Amino acid sequence: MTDEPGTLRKLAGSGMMVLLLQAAPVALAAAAECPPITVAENRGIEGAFPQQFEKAEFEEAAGCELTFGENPAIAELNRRIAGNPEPLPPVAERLPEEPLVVAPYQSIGRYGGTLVGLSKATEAGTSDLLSIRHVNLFRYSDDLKTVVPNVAKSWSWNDDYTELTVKLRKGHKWSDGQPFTAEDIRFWYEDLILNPEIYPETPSRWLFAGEPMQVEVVDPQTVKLIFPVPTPGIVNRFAVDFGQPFQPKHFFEKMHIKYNPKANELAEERGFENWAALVNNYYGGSDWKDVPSPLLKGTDSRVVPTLESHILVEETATGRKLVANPYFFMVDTTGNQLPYIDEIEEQYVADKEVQNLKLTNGEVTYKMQAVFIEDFPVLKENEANGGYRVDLAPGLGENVFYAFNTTHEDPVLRGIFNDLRFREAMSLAINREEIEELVYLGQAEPMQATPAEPLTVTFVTDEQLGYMTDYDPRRADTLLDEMGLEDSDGDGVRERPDGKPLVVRLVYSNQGAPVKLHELVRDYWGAVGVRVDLKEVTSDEYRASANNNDLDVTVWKNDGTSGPTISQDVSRLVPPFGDYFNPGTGFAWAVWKRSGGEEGIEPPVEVKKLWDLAEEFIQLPLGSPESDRVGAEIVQIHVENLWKIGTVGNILGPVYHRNDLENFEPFAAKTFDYYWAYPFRPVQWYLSE
Amino acid sequence: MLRFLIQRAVGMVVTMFFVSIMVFVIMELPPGDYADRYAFRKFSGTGVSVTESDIESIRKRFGLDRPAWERYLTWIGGIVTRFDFGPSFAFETSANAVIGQRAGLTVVLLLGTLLLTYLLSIPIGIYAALHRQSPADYGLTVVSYLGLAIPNFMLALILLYLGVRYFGTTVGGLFSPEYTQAPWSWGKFADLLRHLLVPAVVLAWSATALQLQTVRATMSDELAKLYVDAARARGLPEWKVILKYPARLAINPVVSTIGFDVNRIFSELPIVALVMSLPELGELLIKSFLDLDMYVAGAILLMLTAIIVFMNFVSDVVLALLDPRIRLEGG
Amino acid sequence: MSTEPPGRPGHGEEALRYYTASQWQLVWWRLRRHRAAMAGAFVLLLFALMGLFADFVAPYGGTTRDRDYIYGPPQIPRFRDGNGFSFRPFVHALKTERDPVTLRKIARIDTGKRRYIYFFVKGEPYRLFGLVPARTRLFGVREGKIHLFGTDDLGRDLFSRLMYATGVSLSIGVLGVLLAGGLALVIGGIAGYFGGWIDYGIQRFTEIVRVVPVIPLYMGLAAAFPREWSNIQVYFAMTVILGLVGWPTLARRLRGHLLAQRNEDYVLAARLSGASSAWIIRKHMLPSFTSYIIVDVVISFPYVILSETALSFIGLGLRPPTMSWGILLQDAQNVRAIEQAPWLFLPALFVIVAVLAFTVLGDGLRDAADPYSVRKR
Repeated sequence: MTDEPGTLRKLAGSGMMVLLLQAAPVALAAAAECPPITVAENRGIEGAFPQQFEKAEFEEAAGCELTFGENPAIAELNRRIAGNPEPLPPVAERLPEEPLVVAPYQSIGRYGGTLVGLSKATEAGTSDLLSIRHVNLFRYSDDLKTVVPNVAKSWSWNDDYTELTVKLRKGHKWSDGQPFTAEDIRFWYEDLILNPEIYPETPSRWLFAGEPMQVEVVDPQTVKLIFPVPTPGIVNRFAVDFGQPFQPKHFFEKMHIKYNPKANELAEERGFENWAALVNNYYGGSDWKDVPSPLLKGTDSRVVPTLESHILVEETATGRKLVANPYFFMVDTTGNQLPYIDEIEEQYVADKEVQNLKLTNGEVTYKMQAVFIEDFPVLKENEANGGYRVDLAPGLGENVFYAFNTTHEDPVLRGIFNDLRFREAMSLAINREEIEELVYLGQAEPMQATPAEPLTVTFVTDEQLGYMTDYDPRRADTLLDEMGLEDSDGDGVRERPDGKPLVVRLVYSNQGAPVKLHELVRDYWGAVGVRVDLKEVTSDEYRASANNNDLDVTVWKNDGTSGPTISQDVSRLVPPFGDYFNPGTGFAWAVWKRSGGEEGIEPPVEVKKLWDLAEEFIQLPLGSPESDRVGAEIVQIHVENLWKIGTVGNILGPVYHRNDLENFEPFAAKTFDYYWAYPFRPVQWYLSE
Repeated sequence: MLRFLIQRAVGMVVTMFFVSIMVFVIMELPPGDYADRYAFRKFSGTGVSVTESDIESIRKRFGLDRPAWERYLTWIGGIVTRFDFGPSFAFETSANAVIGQRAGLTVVLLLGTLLLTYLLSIPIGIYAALHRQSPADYGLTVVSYLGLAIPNFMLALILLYLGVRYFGTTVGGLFSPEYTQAPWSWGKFADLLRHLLVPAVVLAWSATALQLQTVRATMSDELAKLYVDAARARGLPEWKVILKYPARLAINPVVSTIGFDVNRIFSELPIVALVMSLPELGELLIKSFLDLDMYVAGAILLMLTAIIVFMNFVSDVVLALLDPRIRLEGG
Repeated sequence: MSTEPPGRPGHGEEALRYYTASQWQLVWWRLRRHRAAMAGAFVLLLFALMGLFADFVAPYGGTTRDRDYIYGPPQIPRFRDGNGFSFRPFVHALKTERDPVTLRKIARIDTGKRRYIYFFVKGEPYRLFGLVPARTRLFGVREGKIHLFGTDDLGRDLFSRLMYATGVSLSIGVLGVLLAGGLALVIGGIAGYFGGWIDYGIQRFTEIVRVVPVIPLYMGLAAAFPREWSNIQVYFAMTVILGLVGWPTLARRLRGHLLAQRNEDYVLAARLSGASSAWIIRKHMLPSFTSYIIVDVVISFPYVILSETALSFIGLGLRPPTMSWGILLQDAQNVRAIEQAPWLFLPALFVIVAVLAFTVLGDGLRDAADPYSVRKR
């Protein structure tokens, strides 16, 4: 109504009353408080992205003006954050000019309360709780298909996906009140990731075709990431990754040799070996947010400022405490600054049964990671007792696979394992329905292992998922007979070509798959004449053996295969079909490639094709027809060759939350691949009385 | 007496020296070292392809590649001169910091268990000796042996479960959430006792069994002796007859085995603490062993053993005080 | 006025038998009267038979799965039901089904269908003592399976597994204790007899080993097992280590006893008669402390068994698919078992009974082994 004054003047006189009546509602609406829009009751108001708005977008759609409110306890919480300025500025000054407006699921929340969570130890089993306060440039919406803005306000690509322009929010501040700008992104990449004293070897995932990207600061709110090759998948990575691509430059400036030539002296004064050690006292040499902080080490009372919803204020060997970030950049639809929840309390409990006791006793507010299907009956039965709910959500990347070592050092075994008939026989010998029933309480589906998680992409066919998954021990016997592996001495075990009994050493880690699964598989393969010796070792021993090419067969979970992940990280698609910490198989093939053919074993033609296809795949945007075509081809090669023999997939897993946790929507998936709770907006959870 | 004390003290030091060597050997036994684990912590999920040489350089950085004897000397030197037990790889701080937080709890648990054990076994043992072969005697014997026979990890879990289900105790750790950070008060103290109860009961039960039998046997032996009859004939009241000499003597073997008891308690404590998620040394020991955080494991082993050796010393001294014969013979 | 100490027979036929009986006969007679000890011995014999003939006693192999009866409660044989009385014991047919909401397995009993129990049936083939092929099992049913102690979450029969586990746990106990006893005899004997420097050195070493808490010590050693070793090899190594850790106590006691005996009159007499040291040790001193050895050996059994249980529980001892009491108890060590499958705690009952039996037997032996002591009445 831009010509309002003119209209009023024009119609001064008898029509005034009518006009006033007409104008009044508009004026009222213009000065009106914003309606409490929620996802449940959205009154038809929606933005470009689901469940959230930019401030201007929202005000226009709802026809209102946002006035900001804050947590009454925020001043006191702020006092607990070491190094934060006092007195606390008013909320309007703490928020960015353009905060993100979040529509809560059910209702506008109330402030207060402590969320209690469990991890195993300082750096073990923590990612679930990390995810509830996590932020990144982008986020996946809870449909796990749409990428939405988070810290970033918007983004755009150039034509060939080599330049990503990201727009940040004006007035966005770190948790200590200092401005957050594009400079912090550049600092993170150039002065930490690329700095050889912080990272002696640059993490290969931040190199693109072996080269670093360029970070160009166009203005404080605009940053350009320039890639040497098309990298459309990087947006997906920022939406699911634990690593936040920004660090507070103002905090690290004095400690960093590039900005302070006296940094080494400063470090020594503070008792550190050199400037890098001083920086790592806070940064911890890693993008993970659960590294021991100065609070635990006793070296400082301040921690690194953050953009997350909560910030660390206490840390001991038995747990951590965090309080709400007074400068957090999100508000709800009535303008209240998020988060609602005052405190997060993280306790370390290593023993699973103590954890179960705490859960059934209702002592924990939320937990998803490390809650297993086998405990579901007990958890479910005690729901009324403990005042909580436990639901099942499909897990991604949980399909346990068995991968025979195709590059085994023993030439006889290598010959056997490389014969496709053997792998097919072993796949057919597995009774997947029984596994589903006995190990996963019937909450899974027989499924072959595919390098792309079927629920997250569109190019995996049911045929591929069902390939060789029938329980057909007779056919397995036939295949093995065809191979010439006979049981000549009638002891139930076939002999190898060199006369020795065919024995497979199945070494497994106590943290990988359930032990029962291995016992069942041992029985299945034993039934077709392949004897299996089981041996349990710790995860570290397991990894070391695997990477040393010492194992007969690798067993692990088929994770890291979700769409967003493989669109920017192809480690699962090519040898060694995993990485150092999640072993796959074909290690000697990987060595051959890495050494340019000097070492290792030359892989067969299909494998060589995979490298080319993977490179193509990663340069195409996920979901596009070309990407689907290449993806389908990759999956077909994998499935036909059965390098990884899968068991069951789409395994349901328990998600636990206490009844006093409101605005909690059941999760569409339980997985690390989308970073646990991050897509499901824990920032708008609140605790009722 | 002084000569006796000095002798014993020197013996203590010598023993500890040999123990330190043994502990170091144990620290060295497991294959592999923290370098692998460190690499995992730092690089997992980052897509870095870690090679053997990377791990080698990590090893060098931590000084894990030096020959064994050199590492031993560095280690033991640090402890003796600076009381510095070395770095904790897992927690990225010094072992001292990590252990310090838990040592207090371990000592509290130990003392609580010992107290409970002696409070129970001595009176009950005396009673049983006085009423030999009675139903009460058999009953008490069976009950005490049950403590010995029931695997204590199972007992710990069951008692914990009962506590949570029927008595409303909160699980894990020493204090309920309200009291963890609160300053000391009677309420906090009572809360501590409530939480200490289950682990102390689990540990004390088996220790009580042995001590009870010892007290009972010694008492019976003494009661059968002539001097008791003589005292009775002289007209001493019955309770004096029992307590003045036989009871005192019956306590002897108990005192002499304090060190042994402490040893047993420290052996069982790790498992119980693991099951109950108590943040004390034994549980940390298991964790650091599995983690190959060797300096922490070694430090804990040393400390536990030192306590045991010290308790042996204490029991020798107390015994000498009680029984002049030992003093004079020089042990 | 009899000058004989109480408890001895007076004169006559009985007295003659008493005074001419060998040492072992005396021990046996005294032991026989100790009722509790006899009960203990009987129980242990039963366990030993169970373990030795596990293949025969157990209706199924230790890894056989019953898909129809998962996490199912024990089936008690009965002689009568709604349909009347039967001389042959039977159980009712049952299945377990999954509750759709809680996903818990619920047992459904079909009271109309009886499964009769037959004895000496033909079951799964096995090799008696690993050598003789056989198929006869003590009992079984014709249709379906019988689970006296219920099943675990893979549907494996707990009774069968317990039989096998008994064998394994007891044999570890025997091996460990024999090793401990053997080592103790050798080392303690040497120390005690020769005295001097050897004695001193061994004493110090004993003390040092004794002072370190067992579980941490064991952990350090166990972590050193090479990864190529199979379960059986780990099993044997474990018994050796348990034995090694146990010997100092016994050795110390033997040494003390030997040192004392060295100065006894009868040794002096023998030496004066010209007997050699070896003869003296063998013929005179050994018998005097054999009883100590036996008693100690029996008393150490519980310790070895409990250690194996605890260590297998932490994961440092035996691992599945081997079966031992400790391993079976791992299945019970969770809230789920407490609330939904308490029968999984039955192995604990076996452990407790075995330990009690050994302890009582040891007590009785100790009382009985010294035939010249005053009988405590």
